[in-house]
Amino acid sequence: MAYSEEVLGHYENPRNVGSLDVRDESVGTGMVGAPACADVMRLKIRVYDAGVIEDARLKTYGQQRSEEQEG
Amino acid sequence: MKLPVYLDYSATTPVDPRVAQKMSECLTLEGTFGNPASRSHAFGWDAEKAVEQARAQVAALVNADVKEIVWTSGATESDNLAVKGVAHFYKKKGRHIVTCKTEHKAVLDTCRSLEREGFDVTYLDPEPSGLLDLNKLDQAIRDDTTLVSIMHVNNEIGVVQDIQAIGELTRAQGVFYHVDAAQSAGKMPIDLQRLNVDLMSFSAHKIYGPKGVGALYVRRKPRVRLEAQIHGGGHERGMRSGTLATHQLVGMGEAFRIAKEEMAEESKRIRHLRDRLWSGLNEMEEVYLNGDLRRRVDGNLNVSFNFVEGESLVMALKDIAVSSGSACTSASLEPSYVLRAIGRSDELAHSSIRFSIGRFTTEEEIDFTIELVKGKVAKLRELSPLWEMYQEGVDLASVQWVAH
Repeated sequence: MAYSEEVLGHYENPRNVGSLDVRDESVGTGMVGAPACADVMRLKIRVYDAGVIEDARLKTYGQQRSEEQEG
Repeated sequence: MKLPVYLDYSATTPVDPRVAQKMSECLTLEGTFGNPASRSHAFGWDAEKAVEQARAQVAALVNADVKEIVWTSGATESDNLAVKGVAHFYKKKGRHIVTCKTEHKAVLDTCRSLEREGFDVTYLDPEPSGLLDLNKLDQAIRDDTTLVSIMHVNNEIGVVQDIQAIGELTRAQGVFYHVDAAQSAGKMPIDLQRLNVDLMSFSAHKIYGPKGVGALYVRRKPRVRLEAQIHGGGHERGMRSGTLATHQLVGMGEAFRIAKEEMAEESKRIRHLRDRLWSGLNEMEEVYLNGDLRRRVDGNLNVSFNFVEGESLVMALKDIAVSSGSACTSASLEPSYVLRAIGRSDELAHSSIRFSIGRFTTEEEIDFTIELVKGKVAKLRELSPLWEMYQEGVDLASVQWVAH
């Protein structure tokens, strides 16, 4: 399977990857997937009282391949 | 050093230039292009001579008689002919077959097909080392068992089954024993005069011969009989019809001749490279070897890099050619059935990479690979939420995952 330029670009130069401090009350965490299925994604966001997402960071394990497989 | 570095010799090997030369001499008008079955002229006689020389070369590598070698299109066909051939011929004696869950799909899928015809198949679980417990095998054999099929070297994890002991056991029980030796012939000594093996499958392209050709060893004393699976002109004493592909067979013969001559030296060199690769990779944290290290073919190293998914790692390792147990080529998301059968968790199976080393691998390539893998695993772990959780001391097994 050959990967598209766009996928390779994100891989070589990841954007918004990382973590936010969970002890910070303005930080929330969401996680989907399971290691057994080879896809886990965790997204952390920082939201203050105004309800606006000020910052976001993600980490992933594996790839979201489901759509490619169906195709 | 040329990139990418080829480290997938268990998948296939390049044809040795000496083999390619011999093959090219069997194609054109000036060469040995005749049909080996043509009895009426020198073109046929020459081709027959070339094919019989190749047969002798294949037989010599495994110490068999030339009359015991049947040409096929590859190890998959050999496995089909052995398993279906024996099952069908001896079906009045019994309809039970014993095999192992870590066999190649050429054996497993053939067994599935026999089940649909009404045969009964026992699929044994291997031990966590990948090796078979012979007591379990002994107990699985029944009065109506006709065939046991247990491979020599596993294609994914490289573990070597004790085919000598299995042969003694099957002979004592009066059942035939088939061995898929696609991954072992030419890499470790095989002496069929000393083994109680009744059928053995071979492939040319795993040992620097061409793709599309293989052979099946069929023992004469005591005699094994087969029902042919491909019918036609009665070639190969009726066991496998079809015009013999002179150039392919000559290539296989030359590959087997070279293997016999060079195996001892080559084996030492490849083992040294494999051990060097393992000691380099093993310096990292949370790295697991899949399959027994001691009872293992020289060129194979199957490693799980915990918290990194195999396919993303393969993508990161585009400067080396390797394969992953995570490869979801089929519609399912299931990782390697072999790694699951030896009891590896899905997570570790999804994190596995198979490195296979061969004749043209250099020390420089191995050192390059070690540094590349170390760097890329570290990079992917930085992106991995699982790695972060592990470092924070979270027990991943206790997490309630939401599969989707």
